[in-house]
Amino acid sequence: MQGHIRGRLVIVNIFLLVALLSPANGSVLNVSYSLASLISAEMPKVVLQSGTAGTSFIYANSTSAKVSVSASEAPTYDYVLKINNTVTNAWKINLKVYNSFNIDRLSNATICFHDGTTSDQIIISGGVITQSEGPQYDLPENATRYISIVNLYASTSGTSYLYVYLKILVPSTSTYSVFIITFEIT
Amino acid sequence: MNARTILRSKALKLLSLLLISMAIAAASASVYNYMYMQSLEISVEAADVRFVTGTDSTVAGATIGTNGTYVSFNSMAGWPNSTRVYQDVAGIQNFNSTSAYTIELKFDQAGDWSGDTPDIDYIYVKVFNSTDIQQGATITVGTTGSSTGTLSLPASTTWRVQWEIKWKAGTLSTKNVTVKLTLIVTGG
Repeated sequence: MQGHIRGRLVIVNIFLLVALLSPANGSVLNVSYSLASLISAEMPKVVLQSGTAGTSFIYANSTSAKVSVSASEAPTYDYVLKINNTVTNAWKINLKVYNSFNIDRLSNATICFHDGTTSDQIIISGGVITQSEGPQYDLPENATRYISIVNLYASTSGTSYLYVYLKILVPSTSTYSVFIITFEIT
Repeated sequence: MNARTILRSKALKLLSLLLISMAIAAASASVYNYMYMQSLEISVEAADVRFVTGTDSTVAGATIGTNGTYVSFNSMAGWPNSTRVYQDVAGIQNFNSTSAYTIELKFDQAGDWSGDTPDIDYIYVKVFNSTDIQQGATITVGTTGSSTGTLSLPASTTWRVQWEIKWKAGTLSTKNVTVKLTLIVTGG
């Protein structure tokens, strides 16, 4: 009987020792908070609109689009989309390829912005994307810029796809909005 | 049975009840041993790891707390069906010139965001070093426990925090959400 009680006391002592020693192995944590209050949805201040060449489809909220053109029909499509700035803020815009499919059949293609001046954004030469991201181009307040495809030639029949970001940058920051534009080239 | 006998019997019963209640009271009572833990001179010291402003702090409406242990943003926004990227809303800087710190930025629990959360397509938060290499995993806001994982922030180093926000197509401009992230700094 006495031995049984002694055994229990030993177990209790071990438990207490473990409990006492545990805090000595603990870490010192400092907790800071980052709070983003009121992340709001707002109406798009820049929107895409259909062009006059090729076939264009504008998706919900006018923030993404699909453009279809044919290399066998014409080498120039001016213009396939419009970029319309609806506010008095100015922006910087550029195009960037983020994916592609069956490009090697395209011997040449250039996608550019224009309105007076022209800015080559994406260039394909010899079935290779030689320029995947274009330089920043001004989109002044309440202005419109145009997207055109020029010098379009294919060496074989088929369908190619270019998946492109239109980046709309707040000047003097690294904050931007991204629209997705899909170019389908037959 | 005379009156004296009756009284004695009742007195005995009362005594028994008294003894039983005392026994119960004694059995219910706890034995307390008081021990003391005293901490001398708990001092205030500047945090070695602090939030600092970044390139996009102004456009995001960032306010850094007095001691750099808190930052809030009150003008982040996004357009529906489009991703808004704030590449550098704030930095996490290790002011210690000799020691690295282990840090972890995380979305801790479901209650850490509120508002029109069903209208959010996604909010991702990423941490990058000065050469634009992502550090740790992407935090998915709304996923309990989503975290960068533990990262070693070298001495005298600043990493930038990037937010990517996408509202679902058709979301009205009256919608908004509030998000809280937790930065855990180990050591110090």
